[in-house]
Amino acid sequence: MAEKKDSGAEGAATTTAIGPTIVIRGKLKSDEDLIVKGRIDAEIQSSKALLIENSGVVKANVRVKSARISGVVVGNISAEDKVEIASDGRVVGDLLSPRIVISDGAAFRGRIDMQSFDDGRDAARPAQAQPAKPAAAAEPAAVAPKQI
Amino acid sequence: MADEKTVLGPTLEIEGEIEGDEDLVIQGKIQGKILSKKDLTVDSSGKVEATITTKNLAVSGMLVGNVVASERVEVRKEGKMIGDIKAPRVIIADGAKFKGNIEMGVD
Repeated sequence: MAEKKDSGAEGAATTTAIGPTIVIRGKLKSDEDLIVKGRIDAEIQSSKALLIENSGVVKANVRVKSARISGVVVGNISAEDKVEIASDGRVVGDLLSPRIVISDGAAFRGRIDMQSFDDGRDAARPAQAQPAKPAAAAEPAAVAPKQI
Repeated sequence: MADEKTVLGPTLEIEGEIEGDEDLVIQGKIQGKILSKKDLTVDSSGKVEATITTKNLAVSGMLVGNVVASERVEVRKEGKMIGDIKAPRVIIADGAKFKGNIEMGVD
């Protein structure tokens, strides 16, 4: 990478904040912290932290190091370190992470698995195919491959 | 919302569609389609392969794809672009690389 730009973005070099009017569809990969204030209908893969702010909406599966949700997520979340649903967060989907925090006031519907993070199974199920009722889409799909 | 701005950092890779109502600076890799109502900047580290519709575009990085801009397109001196431009004002700076058609809408 050549010289840094003059765009006043130097401070944001290791954090990307996706603003409230932005909509992203498709697939998103990142090696930096991600703050979501807008809407993402894209599978998120990040080796760093994901922060979904109040105005943020994510409708897709998420694989990150850690996630903190103050907005809305519809989709499965798998995090290497930790998932935290803040008191104003709402999540519909399955959580897979060794540490999971659900704060008082948070809304959550789905399954939680704190043990088998590294058994190869991931949250890559097509929950975004039916954003209208994703829980129904996510649950049978998630149950099928790992019925113990 | 007027001075809202999103910077998509250098490690960010997006495949798909981006839509926005705020200034967008791209330092990472984008493939697909970008729809912006404000200013779009492809920074020197940015690599974009996309069809772009925007108001203003400035390219300092690498852009492959067609652009329709309602105001202006600028390929800066360190920028490289392959694709067609349709905009009322087009600036190609000395040192910039460009291949494609330009349509400014003159008769």
